Amino acid sequence: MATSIDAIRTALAAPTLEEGQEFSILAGIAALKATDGDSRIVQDLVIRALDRSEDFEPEMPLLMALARGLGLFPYVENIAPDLLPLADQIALEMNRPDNLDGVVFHRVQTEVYRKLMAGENVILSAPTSFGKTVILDALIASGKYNNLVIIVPTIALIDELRRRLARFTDFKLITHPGQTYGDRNLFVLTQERYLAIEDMPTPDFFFVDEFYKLDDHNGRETLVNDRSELLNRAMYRLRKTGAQFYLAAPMIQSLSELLPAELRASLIVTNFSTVAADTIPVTAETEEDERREIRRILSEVDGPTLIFCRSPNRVRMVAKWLQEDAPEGGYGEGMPNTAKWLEDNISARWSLPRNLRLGIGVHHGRLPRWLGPLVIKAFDAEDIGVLVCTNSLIEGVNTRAKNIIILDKTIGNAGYNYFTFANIRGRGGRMLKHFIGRIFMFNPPPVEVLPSIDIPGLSQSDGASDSLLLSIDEEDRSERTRARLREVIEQPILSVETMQKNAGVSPAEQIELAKHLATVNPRLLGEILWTKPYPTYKELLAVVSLVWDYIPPRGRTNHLATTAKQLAYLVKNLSDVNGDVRAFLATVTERAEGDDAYDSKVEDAYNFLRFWIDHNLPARIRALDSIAKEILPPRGIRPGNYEAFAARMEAGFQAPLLLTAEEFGIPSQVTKKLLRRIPRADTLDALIWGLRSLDLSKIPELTQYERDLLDYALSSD
Amino acid sequence: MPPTVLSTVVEEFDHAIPLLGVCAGHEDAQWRFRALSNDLIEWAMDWILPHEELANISRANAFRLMGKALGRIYKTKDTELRGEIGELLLHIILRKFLNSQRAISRIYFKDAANDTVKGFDAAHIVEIPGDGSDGGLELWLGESKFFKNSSQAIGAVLDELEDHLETQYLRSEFAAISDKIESGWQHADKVKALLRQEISLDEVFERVVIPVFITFDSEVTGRHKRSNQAYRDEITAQMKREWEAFQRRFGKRTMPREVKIHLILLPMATKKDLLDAFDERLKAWQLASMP
Repeated sequence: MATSIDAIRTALAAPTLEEGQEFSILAGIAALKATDGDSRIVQDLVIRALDRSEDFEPEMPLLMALARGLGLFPYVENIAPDLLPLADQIALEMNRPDNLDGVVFHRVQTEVYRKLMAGENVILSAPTSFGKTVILDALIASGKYNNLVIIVPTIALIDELRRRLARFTDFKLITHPGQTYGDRNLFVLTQERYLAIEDMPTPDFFFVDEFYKLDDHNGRETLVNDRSELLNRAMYRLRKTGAQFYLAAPMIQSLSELLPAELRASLIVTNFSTVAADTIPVTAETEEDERREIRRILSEVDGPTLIFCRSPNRVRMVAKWLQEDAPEGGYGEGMPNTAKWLEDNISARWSLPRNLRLGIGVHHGRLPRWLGPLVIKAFDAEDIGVLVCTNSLIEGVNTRAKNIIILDKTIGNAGYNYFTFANIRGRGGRMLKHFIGRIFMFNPPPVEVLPSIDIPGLSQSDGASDSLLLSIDEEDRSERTRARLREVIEQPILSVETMQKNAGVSPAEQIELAKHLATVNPRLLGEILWTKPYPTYKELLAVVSLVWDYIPPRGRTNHLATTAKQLAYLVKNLSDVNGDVRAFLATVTERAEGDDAYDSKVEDAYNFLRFWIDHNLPARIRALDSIAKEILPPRGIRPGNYEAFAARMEAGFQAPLLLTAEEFGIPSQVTKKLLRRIPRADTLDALIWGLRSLDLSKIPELTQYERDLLDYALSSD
Repeated sequence: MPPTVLSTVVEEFDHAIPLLGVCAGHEDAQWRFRALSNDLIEWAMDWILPHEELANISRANAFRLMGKALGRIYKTKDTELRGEIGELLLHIILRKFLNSQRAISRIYFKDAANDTVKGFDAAHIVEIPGDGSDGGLELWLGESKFFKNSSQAIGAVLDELEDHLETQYLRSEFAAISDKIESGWQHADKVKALLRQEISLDEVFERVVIPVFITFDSEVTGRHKRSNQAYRDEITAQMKREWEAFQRRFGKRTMPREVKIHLILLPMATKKDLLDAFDERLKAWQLASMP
C-alpha cells in the first residue's frame, strides 16, 4: 500500500502505474488528507494524480471526490463533473461567479470573490498559478461597479488586459490619458498614466496588480525606485477616493505593522496552488557546462521552456548558444514573418531576427515596444519553443510554461531571494494545461523567507522619501512626517506647490536647482531661455546639463549616455531624424565591432529610448521648466518654455500617437504609412477609429505581414 | 444547526437492532409536508458543504447561491432530486437526533471487480457519551431508502446490505474523503487514527454502525388530522410493526458478518406531497435567483 508521501509521489511519477495500485494511491492520498497537516503536500499529490487521470478510469469517482474535497473545482469540471454525487455537483455550481460564462472558481478564489462581492477590501497574497485576475473579471462582470481603476506595472500588461477585458462591452476601456469617458469605464493604466489623468470620474473600485512593488526598496532604507514611488502616490490618491479595493501579489509574508490596522486586516495569505512543481538540480561549474546542460535539458523535455537569466547581456549569450546548438528545424515554427520585417525595417545584422526564425524568443526591457507581446503570443502558441528572458517576464507578463530553467543566481537587480524564486517557480505549469511544472535549477534554492510589505505612501514610514511625503495632503501627515518635512516646507526659495507638482523629484534636489537658478549670473542662463520645439545642440545641452547635475533620475549613467554631453548628443540625434529608429540605431552602432558588440549596442539604444525618452527626460525637463518659471521672473528674467519640446520627446520625436499605437502592437513605421489615409487624429480613440475604418486589403504599400499585424492589433481578442 | 419539524415518536434503543421513529407531525389538519420541504432547504447547505466551506457563506447568500446552482443543474442535466432527498433527510436526522459530527463526507471502496464504488449514502461520526474524554466514537455509515412502500424498501435495503457487507468488499480497501479535521476537536486524534490507511474497515468494524433509514407512505399519517395522542399511539404501533418485520426479514438473511444496525423510520402521508412541495420551492427559488 502506498502510504508515505514519498511512496505516493514516486508511484505517481512512474511511467506506468502498477496493476491494482491505482486505488491504493488515491486512498493513500485521502488518508494523508485526513491525518496530515500540510495541505500543500496533499494538494500537490492530488494535482499529480489529476495530471494522469486517464490512468484512474475505474477510480475516477474517487479522484473527483478528492479534487472536490480540496476545492479544485476547475479540474473537476474539466475532467469528469458528472461523476460527482449531486450534493457535490451543487457545491461546484456554487463556485461559479455571476455573469461569467464558463468559469468555475476553486475554493479560495470563491472565498476571495465573496469577500469582495460583500464590499470588503482584499489584499491577496497567493501563488502565481492561483488565478488572481479571473476574480477581477468576475467583479467587472458582476455589474456592481461603474468605474474601475486597474493599475498594472507595465505597458505590456495594459495590452494583455485590454484584450482580456474587451469582452466587457458595457464599459469603455481607457488605457491612456486623453481618451474620452463613457458612462461606465475600465481604466487600465500604469501608475504614471493614472497620475497623469486629472479629471477622472470617481472610481468605485480599484485593483493594484503586483502590489509588492509598492515596497521596492532593494535592501535599502528608502525606496530606490522612481516607479515604486509613483505607485505609492497612485495608491494614496486612489485610497483617498474611498473606493473599495483589491490588491494582489504573489507570496508575501505579511504587511508592515506600520500600516493602519484595517488595512492589515484585509490581508489574505494563501499557498493554494493549482499546479505542482518538480524541482531538478543541475550542476554546472563553467559557462561551457551551462551551455552543455541547457542543450541536454532541451533535448529531454517536452513542451515550452522558459530560461531565466540575470541580465539582457546574459540573455544574448544564451540565445547565441541556443542558436548555435539548435536542432534540425529549430525549436519550433518560429516567427519568420516577424523576422523578415525586422530585417527589412530595423536591422538585418541584429541577431534577434535569426533567433525568431529558429523558434528562440527573447524577452527583456530592451526590445521594440510592439514586439514583446507578439513574442509572448508566439510562445503561448508554441511557435517559439524556448523563451530566454530576464525578470521583465516575471514582473510584466502572465505567461507560463511547462519547463523552467533558472540559470542565474541573481535575477535582475533584485538578488535571488526566495520571493523571486517562488515567483519564477510559480510560472512552471498552468492549470488545466501543464499540471506539473518542471523547474531546472542551476543554483540551490534560497532560504524560505518571504517579505513583509510596507506601503510607505500610506504608512509614512522611513521608507518614504521626502518627495513622497510631500505628496501626502497636509491633513493626512503624521507628526513625524511634519517634522521630516519642516525644513523643506519652511525654506523660502521654492514653493511647496512646485515641488509637489514635480512628482518623484527629490525636494532637496529641486531646492538646490532653484538656488542655482536664483543666484547664477544671468549671462550664463542665456542658453536655457528658449521656447522652441527644435532647440540647437547647445541649447539642449544647457537644459540637459541642469537636469543631469541637479535633478537626475536614479541610475542616470546606466542607459547608454554616461555624461550630460552624450545624453544631449543622443537626444539631438534622435530629434534630428524625427525619431526614426533605424537611423538612430545606425548612429549608435556606428563603431560596434563584431556581431556581439553590435547586438549589445542595439539593445543599449532601446534601453536608452525606454529610460530617457519615454518618460524620464521629458518629466525632468518639465520639472526644470516649472522651477525656472517660479524663480526667474522675480529676477526680471523671462524664462524659457520646454513644453513643445518635451511633448515631442515623449512622442519619440515622431508624429503624435505613433508610439502610443505601438502599445497596441503596431510598429510606428506601419502607422506612419497609414497616416495620410485617415483623418487627422488628436487622440488615441480617433487614431484607432481611423485605422479600423480602413480597408487594409486595398492599401498597396502594406505588406501582408503588416496587414496581419494590424488585424491582430485592432481586433479586441 | 437549523431547526427541524421532525420530532421523535418512538425510541427503542435497548435492542439488538434499535429503532428510532420520527415524524413531521400535522398542521392545519394535514401532514406537515410543507414545513418538512422547508427543512430540506434549510439543511441543504449543511449537507452539501464541508464546514470549512460553510464557514465563509452567509445564510442569505447561501440560498441565492443554491438556487442558482440548482437552476443550472436542472437546465443542463436531467437530474432529479429523488434518492438524494432520502440522503438529506437521513443527514438531518443523524445530525439532530443522534448528535452526529461530520468529519467524513464520503467513503469509497474498491469492489471485487476492482471498480471504485461509493459506499453508503451518509458517513457520520457519532460520539458515545463515556467517562470524560474517553467516550467512544462510532462510524455511522447510512443506507437510505426514500420509498412509498415500506416492504419494498426493507427488501431493497437488505439486498444492498448483503452486497455492501460481503466479506470481500469490507476487507477491501476504502478511502474516506474527510473534511478538515480541526485539531482542537477532542476526538481529532481518534478520528485521524480511524482514517489511517493501515487500518482496514474490517478491523475497525466493531465501531461501525449502519443506520438503515426508511421512509414510507403511511395511511395512518394521512388519515389523521392532528398529531394528538391517538395519532401517536397508532403511528407508534405501525412503526413497531415495521420494525418487527425488518428484524424478522433481517434474521432470515445470512448477513456475511455481524453488523450493528440502527433502524430509522419516517412515515409520510405521501412521499409525493413532499416532493411536490419541494419542487415548488425550488422553482420559485430558481426564478427568484435568476439574474
